[in-house]
Amino acid sequence: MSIGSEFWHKEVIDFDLPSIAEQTAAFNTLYELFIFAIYKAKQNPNRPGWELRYDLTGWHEYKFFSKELPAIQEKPDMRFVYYYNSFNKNFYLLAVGLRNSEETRVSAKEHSIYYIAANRLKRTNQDCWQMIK
Amino acid sequence: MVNKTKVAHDIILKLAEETEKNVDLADPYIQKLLFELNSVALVSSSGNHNVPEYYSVKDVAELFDVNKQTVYKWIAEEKIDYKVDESPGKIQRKGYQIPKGQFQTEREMNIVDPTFSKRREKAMKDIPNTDSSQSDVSLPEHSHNSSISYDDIKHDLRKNK
Repeated sequence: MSIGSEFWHKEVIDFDLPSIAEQTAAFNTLYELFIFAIYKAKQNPNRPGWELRYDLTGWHEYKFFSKELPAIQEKPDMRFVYYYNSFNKNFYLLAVGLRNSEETRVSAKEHSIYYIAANRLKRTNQDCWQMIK
Repeated sequence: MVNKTKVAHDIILKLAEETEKNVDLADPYIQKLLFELNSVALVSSSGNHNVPEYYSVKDVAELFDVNKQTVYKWIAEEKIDYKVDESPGKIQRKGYQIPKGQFQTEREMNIVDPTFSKRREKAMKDIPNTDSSQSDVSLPEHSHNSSISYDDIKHDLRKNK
């Protein structure tokens, strides 16, 4: 379990979560599941096979459900991108969003959570992060 | 027959000129020169002087990163020098031998294919970053701002909604 601090990108609070809240009716449930997903990600931050590549090298993804009882064979419909610093045990959350099922390398890039995260990472600086207690 | 020593001498001189400019060793032109030098050295060491200094159509297609049909088109248009391969075994299909000497510099290659340099630059840019090193972005270790809790964020979201 992580004993460091937790940081969220400010655009997660200002942009990602409000847009998710607009799209989903049961936001409270989703938010609780999201917090629980962060807790689980912190327990095992470097999960093999969940690493991201190219522009997001070093970062990881985490998949979770937006509802408590998903159907059988249903895929996790939410994603978030995080980075775990193993030296100071800090946890950095870069972006969170809905899974885009039509996502390919060419089409619908703008709606891809990874595309948003990569762009966000390029223009990030020290002031972009909000500490969470 | 071309004198191997002279060819190797010319290539070494070209390499020396390039190294004075502090050119990267990954540069395709340098790589090509090194490859040529290596092949000359191999031929010289083996003592086999009967190996012809020709490219095949497939080699030229790989060199320019074009299709083989394009090379045949250049041959038909006589953009590049060639000679018909009359060695035994080439009865059914027409073989061409393309002398290596005409593709020594990037300028010579641009004369054959004017888009070569642009395409090569674009291809070099499009290579994705597959470096597996960790994230280079500077991330904060401590926050200067006041921290907020999960419930505060949820409360603000509900208020805005």
